Amino acid sequence: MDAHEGIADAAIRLVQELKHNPNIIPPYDATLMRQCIDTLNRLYDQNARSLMDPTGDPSISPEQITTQREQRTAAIIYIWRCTTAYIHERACRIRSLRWRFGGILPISIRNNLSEAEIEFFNSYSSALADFQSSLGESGVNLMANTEPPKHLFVQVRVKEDYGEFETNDGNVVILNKNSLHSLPRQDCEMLIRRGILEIANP
Amino acid sequence: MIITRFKEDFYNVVRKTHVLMITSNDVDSLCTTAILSHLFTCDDVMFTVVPVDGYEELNDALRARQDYTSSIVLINCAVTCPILEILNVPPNSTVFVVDSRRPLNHFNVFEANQIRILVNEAERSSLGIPNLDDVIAKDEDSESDDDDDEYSEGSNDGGGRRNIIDRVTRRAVRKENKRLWESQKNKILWQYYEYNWHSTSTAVQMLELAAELDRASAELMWYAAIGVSSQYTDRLIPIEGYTDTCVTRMKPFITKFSPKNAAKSDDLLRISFGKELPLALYTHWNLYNAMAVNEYFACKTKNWTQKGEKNMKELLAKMGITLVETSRKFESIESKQKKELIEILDKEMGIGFASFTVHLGYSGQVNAADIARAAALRIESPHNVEPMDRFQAALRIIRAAISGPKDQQVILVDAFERSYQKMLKMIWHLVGTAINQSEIVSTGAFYLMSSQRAISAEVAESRHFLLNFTHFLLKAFACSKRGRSGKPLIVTFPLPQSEKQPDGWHVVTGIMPLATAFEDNTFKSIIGRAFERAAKDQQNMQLSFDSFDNSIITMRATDRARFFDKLQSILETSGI
Repeated sequence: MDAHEGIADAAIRLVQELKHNPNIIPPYDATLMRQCIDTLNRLYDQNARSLMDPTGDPSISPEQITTQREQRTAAIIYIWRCTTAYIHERACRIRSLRWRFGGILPISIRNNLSEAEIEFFNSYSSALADFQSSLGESGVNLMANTEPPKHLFVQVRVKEDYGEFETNDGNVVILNKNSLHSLPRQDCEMLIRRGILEIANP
Repeated sequence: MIITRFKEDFYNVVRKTHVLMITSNDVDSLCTTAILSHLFTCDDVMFTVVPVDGYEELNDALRARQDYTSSIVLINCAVTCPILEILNVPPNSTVFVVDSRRPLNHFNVFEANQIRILVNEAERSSLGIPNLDDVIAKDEDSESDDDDDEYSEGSNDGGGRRNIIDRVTRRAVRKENKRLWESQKNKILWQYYEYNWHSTSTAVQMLELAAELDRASAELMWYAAIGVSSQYTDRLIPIEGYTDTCVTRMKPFITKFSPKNAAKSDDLLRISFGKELPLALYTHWNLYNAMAVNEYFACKTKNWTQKGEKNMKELLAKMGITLVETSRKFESIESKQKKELIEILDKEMGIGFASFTVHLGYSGQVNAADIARAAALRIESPHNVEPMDRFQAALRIIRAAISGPKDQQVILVDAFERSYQKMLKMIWHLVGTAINQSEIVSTGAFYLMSSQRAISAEVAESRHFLLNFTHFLLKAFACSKRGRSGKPLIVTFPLPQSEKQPDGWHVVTGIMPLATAFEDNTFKSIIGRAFERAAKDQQNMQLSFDSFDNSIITMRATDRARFFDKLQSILETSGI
């Protein structure tokens, strides 16, 4: 190991990675994570060994050994906190993705997640769906009307070609780029979130 | 088919379906769309708006919706051409046409299934639509088939010689009748299509519909006011036609929404109708500049000549206006002094223009004609900006005048001062150079001004600019020497190259002679028709009639000479 490199550098880099990209989910950094885990294991082994064998190195006084052990424990706790913060923050962002994109993730975002994270996303989605359907008689869509609407209809401008779109009452609308539509708010809210529609000036 | 009951036959029918509004990119259509959108929003009707620049985009928009049933509302597009023949109208849809262009194409009028043209009851009789039997041939194919069969049977008979002769003469008579009918038809249609003109603003018609539905409001009246003002500022209707519409059609709304002694309050929208100077933008400028680029004052003082500035000052002195007053920003002049100035200028110009002004609380006031001008420039060009972007930008200008927040006012200042004043100066400059350098040539039947200088894309494709420039130029040309008011003026400009526009194309437009006596308060023009005829039978000429106005066409630079030769002979024979 490089002399100038601190023992917790990899862990700090993990946290920084998220901090520097506040609005997106960067790719899951498996190499750094692996490094952190390796460091944790190494430190733990060293601590364990020094406890097992109290008279290991005669050149070092027992007080020094105790201090070393405490230092290592502090480092273990520090790295552990960094890695959990990394995982927790990513989990929070993944949860917010569910509200932004609905149950299906765009492929570009999906590629950035680890397998465990995708599993977490799916279980979160199904938990949310279970919860929504358990409310009331026919379920409540918590995604709809996150702000109190003033009108049932909203005027939207199409930003990219989408093609056919069927509203709840069975009307089919073609959403072609650069056209202006007046649609029921609840139907098109999801498309607005995905950036296909944009609310035109009222 | 023509429908006159807007509420029963149009609104109550379309509100039950999804409505597709295809709107031409000009201010009147924009205002019409704004009024209709408001009505549909009140009734929770789903609708789609697609702004288009010309026939090509209109066709694209229709093609994309081929398989769906909906009501299509065409706003100021394509009523002058046979809609079902040249457009890909989806087979299950009904097309409602709201249009101020005249004459209506007779195929559209007589089509009974898919097309509904909205025309005011009072206007209907004055349209002079020919009789159905006179212009559309009855289906006679089956009859003649029968005849052929009889003929062959008859010849087997042997004794039917007389019959045969009978039949031959009958057929000859029928042929002759048909020929006569055909020539009669051509004559009728010729008369019917000879002139092109604009009728009442569609925005005003839609305001009347809103009133019928009890939904008229000051806001909708503002849209209609801009619609009718834009027809005047775009030079589609003369001042008489404008005043007529204001006095007869807008009257009930004026009395309702702009009472004389209305209460003033901070956030109350008031629209007043009253005398106004026909000087563009003078309230947002200083008088001197506004007068210098104005058609009336420029022609009077000939301020494009060397002596021009002196003449201008002399005129000001005669009227009793000081130079200090004219160089100050008009807004900052005391209100008493303002009134005096307006009175003097009104007397001098003597045009008798009245207009709508919006007052919002105690803040500044804006004139509908100025808004119409600024919005026209924003919505019509340049064509390489998406039509939707231009549509929304112009809508923001129109709305900014009636909404309070300060940041909205910035939009207006920007539209007036950065864009429109620049364009006014440019028109004046172009007119001045054209006159000074004698760029106008007289070619027998018409005057031709063929500019070689490229002008910026921001204005070159705008109808508002083209027509204002052409009218100004003809007036300036006529006032610099006597006897120049008897011929039409044709103007061409090179179009700047862009993504949509290959290099080497020119835009061509024309207006009627200055001395034409216009009837019925409309600018009836034969120019569009003459262009169409000149382009006919000329397969190898590259020109396009993409604009909904047939008097504005684009063509390849190399074909211009041949086109003008043809136009020459056509205008000579039609004798204006």
